[in-house]
Amino acid sequence: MQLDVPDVTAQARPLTNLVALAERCCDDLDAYSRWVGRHGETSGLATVALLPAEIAASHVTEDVEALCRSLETAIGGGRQAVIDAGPLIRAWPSGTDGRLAKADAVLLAQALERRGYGLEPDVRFGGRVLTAPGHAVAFRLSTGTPAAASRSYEAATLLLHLAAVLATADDDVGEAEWRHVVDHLQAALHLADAERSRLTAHFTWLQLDPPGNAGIKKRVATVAKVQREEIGKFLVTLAAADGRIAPAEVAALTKIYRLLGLDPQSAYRDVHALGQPLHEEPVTVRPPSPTREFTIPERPGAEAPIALDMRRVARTLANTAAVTAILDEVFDEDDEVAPEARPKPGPAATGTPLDTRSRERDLLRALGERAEWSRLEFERLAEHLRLMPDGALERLNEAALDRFGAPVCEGDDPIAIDLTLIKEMLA
Amino acid sequence: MSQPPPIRPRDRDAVLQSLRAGVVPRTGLQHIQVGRADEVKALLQDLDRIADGGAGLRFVIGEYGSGKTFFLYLIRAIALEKKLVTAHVDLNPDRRLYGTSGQARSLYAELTRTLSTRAKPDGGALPSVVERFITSAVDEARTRELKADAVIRERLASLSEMTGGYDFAEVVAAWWKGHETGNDALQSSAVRWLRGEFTTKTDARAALGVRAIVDDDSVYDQLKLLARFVRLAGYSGLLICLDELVNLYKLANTKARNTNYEQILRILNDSLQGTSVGLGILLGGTPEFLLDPRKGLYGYPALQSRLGENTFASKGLVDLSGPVLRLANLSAEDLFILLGKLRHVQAGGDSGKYLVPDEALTAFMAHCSKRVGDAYFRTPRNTITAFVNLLAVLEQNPQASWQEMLGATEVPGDENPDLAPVDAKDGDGDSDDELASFKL
Repeated sequence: MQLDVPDVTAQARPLTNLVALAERCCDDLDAYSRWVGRHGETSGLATVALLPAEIAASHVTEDVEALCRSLETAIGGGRQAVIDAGPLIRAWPSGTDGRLAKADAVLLAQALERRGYGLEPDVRFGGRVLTAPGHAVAFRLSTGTPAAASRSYEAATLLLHLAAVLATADDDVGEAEWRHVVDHLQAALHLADAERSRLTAHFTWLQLDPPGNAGIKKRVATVAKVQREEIGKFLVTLAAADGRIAPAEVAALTKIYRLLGLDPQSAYRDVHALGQPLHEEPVTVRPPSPTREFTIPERPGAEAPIALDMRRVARTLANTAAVTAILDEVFDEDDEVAPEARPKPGPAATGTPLDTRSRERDLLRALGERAEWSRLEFERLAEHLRLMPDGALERLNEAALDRFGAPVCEGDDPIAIDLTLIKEMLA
Repeated sequence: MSQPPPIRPRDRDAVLQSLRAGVVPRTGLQHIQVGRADEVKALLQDLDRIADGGAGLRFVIGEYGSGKTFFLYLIRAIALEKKLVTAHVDLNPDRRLYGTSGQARSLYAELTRTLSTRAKPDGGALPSVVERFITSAVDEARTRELKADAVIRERLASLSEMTGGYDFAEVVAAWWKGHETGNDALQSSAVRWLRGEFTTKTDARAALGVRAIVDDDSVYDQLKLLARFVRLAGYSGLLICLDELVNLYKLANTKARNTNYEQILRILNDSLQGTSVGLGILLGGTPEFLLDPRKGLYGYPALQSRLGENTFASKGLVDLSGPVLRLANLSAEDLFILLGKLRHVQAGGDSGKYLVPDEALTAFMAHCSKRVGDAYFRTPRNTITAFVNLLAVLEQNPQASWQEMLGATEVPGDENPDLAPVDAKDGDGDSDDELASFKL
């Protein structure tokens, strides 16, 4: 029989296109077919993870639907939910024994992502493989979710990781500390919305299943020094967010500084610097900005002036005026100290008998004859008047200081005499 | 507004000469104090409490270059004005709060050497204090027609209930007796005993008839006795300043370190419970001395809880009533104000006599910054010396311009001595681990 249609197989170009199309389809199906080949069966989740979206949509299986329903219920009206990692792992075909290989963890996350759910920890974003017993945090994904971590996100997870280590050092993660971290996240890290949701979920997970220090060194190596220093300082303010820094937190901070490749002694400096009394304005802690490229600041040139914060100068001047007023009152030698303002003397310094006072006056008169006396001469003079030399000097000088704000005798050997003052004292 | 009062020449000279020598001045500090009004107020309240018969312990914590020593000197100067007796010592490997080979006694001996009063502010005031007491007792004895010895003991009776109080009274009586009978040896033994210079009880018994001496174990008790004694002599109380507590932190031997911290705890408890009268102690140290969770005060469990009440800057307020007082390093702005104050002191308090205008201050700071970076205000000792020297040169060369002189000013870097390599012989783990060393 002869048909009146063109023979497609005789045409080269359409054939090439068809072959190319077929190859692309095979490529797209490759992952799935390998998976089936390896595991010898299909699975709802694997389907979702591996099949092209167009086909996956029509392969709805009950296990996947059930999982999505349970996630939906858990998240409810919120943004994220903590779920038990066990059932999640077991939902994956090879996870029946409660363990997941790294590749499978990636696929699981991919599957959920395609259904609109993010998961932490997520290996693709630097998280650990899910383990049971353990937790996971599921959250809603918005469109435009990146599939891998940006540099900012990496630095942010490092910071959070260390913050979680620190938070557990104080026994309870206080509300204040948590708020501090979240506030910081939202204000400063220049993360995309989707990254922020992931970061929040990641932190929640970190607090439940603290991962220890494994792998931190490697991650630290990718962060520039000035950013590491800022991370350190940020963590110090985090520790102080509840108003005190407990010794356990100081210990955790020194460990963290070491992990960050910073000198642990600088942790004490940074803690100390934090505890300063403030004058009027709170000190703004500049949060780390991981997106900023680190460049060595230029040394100030020959003409570079000193830039002073004049508001700070004004505040300090006011504070200095206050302290000067206080000190002037203490050291003011012009006014006689009112009797009731004098510190109460001990019980014995009362009522000097007349003859001691008269002998001390005799001493003053004798001293007033010269501007300088050697110690020996002075002792002889005192002895002659039956006075104890150091006691007499002390009493005379005390009296002179009380009345005139200056001592009448100065120095040990020779002793210098203020002749004018003696005249006034004898007057 | 009237001119502020001129600055006394003696204060002016003391400030300028000391700073040129790179040391903290002993007087005139009030003319160069920058900021820290709240801290000074808090310490003033402490001193008033001590003068009232109370007690206190404060940790003054600051980094190298933060002006911690200056602050301690300032408080000392205020204490003297308030008629307290003061003493001050820098700790070092051989001077500690507690020891077993005389290190605590050595601290005490040095403290008594630096004993000062307002009339005798440069140390060596122990004889002045004791003789003041004795003179007044002798006078009373004459009035009441009693023996001086009896009145002395009567006045010191309140000390006898305290540890070491009886012997203390005996020694003071011996001082009087030595003076009255012209027995110089007896009098000088009394001085030595009070200074903690007797090293064996036998010698003390032979010289003075007392059974005990001031030794490592009894230093703190002796300080408490001294505090009560100075009040009996007519002073308000006793203020002890101990600086460089980092030397305790550096003790390699854990036991030695902990026994020293135990002493601090004892002092703290006494001051809180009111068992010591008229005694104030200031301890100066660095942040790691306080904060190191292994070797610092924070690492000593019983102190942790008492010190952990450091409130940090929350809502802009800091609680200064706790025992720890933190001093921040100077900022560039603080230094700017300080330089202005130095200029003012140099001019004797007369702004018409300023040697340099305001722009010279910032130019000077820029000059220093180029040479030593931020250290010029963080550890400003050499910056200050250089500035005072610059002013001196300008004073001697009135025809020179400050711009020329500034260019020639040298500003060496300032090195933190704590960061210098430790001498082999400073390693005192060997000397106080109480093990004999021997060679085969």
